[in-house]
Amino acid sequence: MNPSAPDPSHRFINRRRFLGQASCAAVGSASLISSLLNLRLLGDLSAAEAPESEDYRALVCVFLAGGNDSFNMLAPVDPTGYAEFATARGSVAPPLANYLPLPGQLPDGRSLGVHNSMPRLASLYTEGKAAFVANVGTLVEPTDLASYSNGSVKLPLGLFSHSDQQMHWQSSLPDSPAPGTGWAGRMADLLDELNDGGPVSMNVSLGGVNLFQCGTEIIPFAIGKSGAVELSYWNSGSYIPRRAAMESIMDAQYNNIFQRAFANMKRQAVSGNADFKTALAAGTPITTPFTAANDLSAQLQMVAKTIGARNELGKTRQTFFVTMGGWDLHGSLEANHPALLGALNTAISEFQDAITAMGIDQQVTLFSASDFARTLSSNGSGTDHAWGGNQFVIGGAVKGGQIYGTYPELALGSVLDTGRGRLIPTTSVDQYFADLALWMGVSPSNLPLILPNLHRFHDPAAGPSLGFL
Amino acid sequence: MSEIWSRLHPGAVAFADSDGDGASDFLESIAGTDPFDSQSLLRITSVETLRDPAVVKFHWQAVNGKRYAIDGLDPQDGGWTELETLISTETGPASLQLPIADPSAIFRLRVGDIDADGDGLTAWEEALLGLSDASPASSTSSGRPDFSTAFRRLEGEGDLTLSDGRAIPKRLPTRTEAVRFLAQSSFGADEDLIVRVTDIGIGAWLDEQLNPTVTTNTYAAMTGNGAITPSIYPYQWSRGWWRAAMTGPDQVRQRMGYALSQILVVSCSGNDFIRQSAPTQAVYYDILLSQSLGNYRQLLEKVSYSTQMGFYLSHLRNRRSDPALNRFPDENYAREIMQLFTIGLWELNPDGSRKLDDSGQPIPTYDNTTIMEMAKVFTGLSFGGTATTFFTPVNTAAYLIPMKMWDEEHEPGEKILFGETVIPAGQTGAKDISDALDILCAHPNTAPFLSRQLIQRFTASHPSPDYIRRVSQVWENNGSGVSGDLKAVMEAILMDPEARNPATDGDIAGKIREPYLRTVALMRAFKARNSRTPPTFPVVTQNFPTILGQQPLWAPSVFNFYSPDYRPVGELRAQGITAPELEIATASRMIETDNFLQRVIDRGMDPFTTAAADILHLDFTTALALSSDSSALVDYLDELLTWGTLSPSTRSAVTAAVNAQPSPELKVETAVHLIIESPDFVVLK
Repeated sequence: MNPSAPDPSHRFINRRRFLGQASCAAVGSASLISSLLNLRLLGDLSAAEAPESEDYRALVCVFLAGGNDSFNMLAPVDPTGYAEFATARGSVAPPLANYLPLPGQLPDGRSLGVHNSMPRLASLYTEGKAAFVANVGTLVEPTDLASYSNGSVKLPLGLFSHSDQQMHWQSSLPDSPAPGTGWAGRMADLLDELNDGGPVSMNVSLGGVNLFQCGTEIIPFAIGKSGAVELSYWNSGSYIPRRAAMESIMDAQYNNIFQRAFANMKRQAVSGNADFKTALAAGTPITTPFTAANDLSAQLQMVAKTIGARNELGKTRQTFFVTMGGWDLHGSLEANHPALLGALNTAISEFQDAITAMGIDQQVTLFSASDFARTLSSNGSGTDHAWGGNQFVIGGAVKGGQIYGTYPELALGSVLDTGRGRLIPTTSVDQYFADLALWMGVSPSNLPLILPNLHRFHDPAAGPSLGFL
Repeated sequence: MSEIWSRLHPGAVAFADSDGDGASDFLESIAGTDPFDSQSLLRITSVETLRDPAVVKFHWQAVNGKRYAIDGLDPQDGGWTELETLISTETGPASLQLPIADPSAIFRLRVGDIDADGDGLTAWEEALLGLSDASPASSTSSGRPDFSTAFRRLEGEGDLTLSDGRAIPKRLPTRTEAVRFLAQSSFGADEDLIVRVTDIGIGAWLDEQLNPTVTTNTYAAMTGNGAITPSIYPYQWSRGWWRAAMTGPDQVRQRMGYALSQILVVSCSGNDFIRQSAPTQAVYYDILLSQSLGNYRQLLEKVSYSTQMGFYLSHLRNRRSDPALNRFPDENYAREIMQLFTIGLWELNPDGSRKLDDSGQPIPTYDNTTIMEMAKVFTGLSFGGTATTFFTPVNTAAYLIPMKMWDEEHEPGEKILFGETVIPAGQTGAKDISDALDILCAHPNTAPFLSRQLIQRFTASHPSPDYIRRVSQVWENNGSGVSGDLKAVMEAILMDPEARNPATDGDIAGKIREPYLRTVALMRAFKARNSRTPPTFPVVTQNFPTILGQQPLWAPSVFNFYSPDYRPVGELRAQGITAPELEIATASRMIETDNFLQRVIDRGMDPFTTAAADILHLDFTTALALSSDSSALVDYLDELLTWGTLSPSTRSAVTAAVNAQPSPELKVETAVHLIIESPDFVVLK
């Protein structure tokens, strides 16, 4: 397979060749991606049965790197539920008064509240524009405490480790030791046909190079918060000789693979940034405020600007990756976690305002992801790595005001507790991502190409798994 | 062709047959024969046939250390089958015999090299040097890997007498060889270092560097660098780092310290205690420097007790468990000391590849039970100094000294690691930690896991399994039975055939140089200084992580700036080739790095303050003198920056741009900038 970046002028030819090669490769190779693509060819040749192309859709992944203690973000607030929570969490349990109660009850009678450092998230929930997915996490196959303990199920590789769980959240392939692609990358490989091409990828990252958005053909365009940058000597008269020389250096042939990679990447960086700059200058300006000192706000402001330039970039489908760090609170959880939640709340609030002002809040969905939640029990001043946790989804298209999945029992030693309150997820990331992918326009028959493990938890042909979109 | 053979026979030309004996010089190099002596070549001198039993016996003149084989031809398919082999242990008559089965048969005698001990030297070379192909470290006198011993013997002035009495000329490195070696081993070549290496040789210079008489520490470099009170400006440690890197004579020691700072990661990013105190940063980095040519076990202990690591991975004030409160020991340090600082997640072979179980799956090195047990080991540490209890509040002076074990907060009871290794109950906390560090350092994973990452920092983005195995062997045993000897490991990395022979690994050889080190190398190549007396190095911009993706002690997390396993999408990923440094090469950073370096070249390094006297200017005196002759200018820069390997296409692009510039300054700035940003400079191969 030739994975070098497509020349935009030949993209359809490249795509056909790519698919052709992939199906050939499947004959002799058991590699995951080639067998997936083979499946695609057999199963559904009319892949572009997606919605009308003018119906823009964007997915924004907010990755909370380090493992958000999401049982403090979304906690039981009824007397019995809170008491169970407070006992398990010990010194890291926030007081009941620090929660904003959410309307409604869980089927088991408990009611939940959002930490009061996130008032906008609570109000979006109440307005029906935000939902939570409870106790979701990486799973290879359905797992309970008995099968976990006796080793009869396959478990995610490197369970409880940051690097591995981030990889699994981004790839949705927790049984692969080195997944080459992320699920948004695989999705983009399918959906990019709906776009007009151009050097700027449909997958744009403000969080650096990431696995989530890497496909076989599509790779993320990774930019900084300030957006497009250009070489300072590119358009300046006296520097024209330098530009010409740099272009020929980037375009030269190199025998060494690292030299080749560097030259190609730089060439793409230069042309992508040039296109991006032009598009942003012509796009819809963002008029609503963003807090410059809030790093995530600044990232999301650039996301909003990029969405504002979607027509100029020729995109009807885009994904965005933004990251926020600092969540690995083994210590000082009480002091630092509310501030992180507060900054997160500000950023998503400002983003929602910007998207709503553009009139496209039905077409943009933001969702959270994180390595894992943390042990319910404390280590004195913080909490340690765990497994299943709570995530939120925000947007006009979200069937909000509801908790999807099963909010777990929080007593230590419960039927989900593998020790210290490391809870086995009751919803797999595959199920979470399936609903997002379907909303983006992936057909049910194509879902297994993006989420090959989904069938172990949910029949892909049945449509949405959780139903929040 | 073997370097030794070439020096034995100066004037030999691979595809010529200098002595007209029918064997080309290249074939004679394989046979170890003399290309200028028509009587010296591989040929069968006689064939005997004997009865009872019926055998055919071939005679020839063998060369010590060569491997000979008699092949038989299958007349049906024309294929050759190896029938008998001999590894010659002396030069002189040799023979092999075969039973005769058929009345007629066709045989051939074939010669080749072997490297049974995998040390990068052939048995023929080892025999001539008095070494053995049975062990990669066969020289009892040097205590070094054989390749390193051989490399040093061939370097110098005068002749080297080989074990068979013949002599070959030694030689000293060329300037381009020196620049290439310095790019691997130092913060970058400058004229002084080039002269020193070409004067005394790579081996002798490395000896000086591995036993430095002057050792730099960044704390002194920082506080001695102007009148600024370091604690006021958290970014001031950078001044010390730059001063040490730019002027410190202990370059190899510092490069190893910097490499270790990317394994034993402590970061200002996300940690207020460390970010807000420049002295704290200096103290931690100097721990790494102090042991960078010492022993990893001792370094790991210092790191484990360092207050900075205690802050960063939160085992400072980690308390024993209290079941009544559902309180358990903090698992953070326990996890990362295993996953990142010693053994990694997966069981490894000595060549760094993952071991696989019967179903082809990688095998985890530990489970979560071991994490929880290890977490108990790292309880009881809190501030030392004037503190009188585990909980005594302290002033910032206590940040600068090691943590102290407070046994009353250390978890009692035994700790069982890996399901079988028991740290017994009733020990002090310090003894528990010592035992745990011993166990981790003795784990068979530690050597390959860390050897691979260190190789990646110096010489190869994607080291071969053989390279990892060779370095890993030295990590396991430095020749004197000591494991984790970083001085020996440093030597093994730099004096490996894969590092010293540029062409060993074809087009996957070499490494992407880190953007931060590319910047330092540029500054060193042109001795960047400001106008203060003595010069200072106020390189304290806060933007390096944004522009370059890097700054010492500024990794975004304990997982460093990039993963050792990172494979960029495209050709590299398709071929499974790692290129860690490309993980931070985002579209925006590639542009910003170029712009930043251009500004440095054209105007100097902008400091945090704007005083003109602080700006570090590159000294282009030599280049300016050559600027009227673009060819001479590019030759000079090619030698200084790209060790004479500038590709023809880059050379012609640079030359054209230089010729199009009007002034000497613009010519030089243009040439330097284009070369610095070319793949020729970025990839060290």
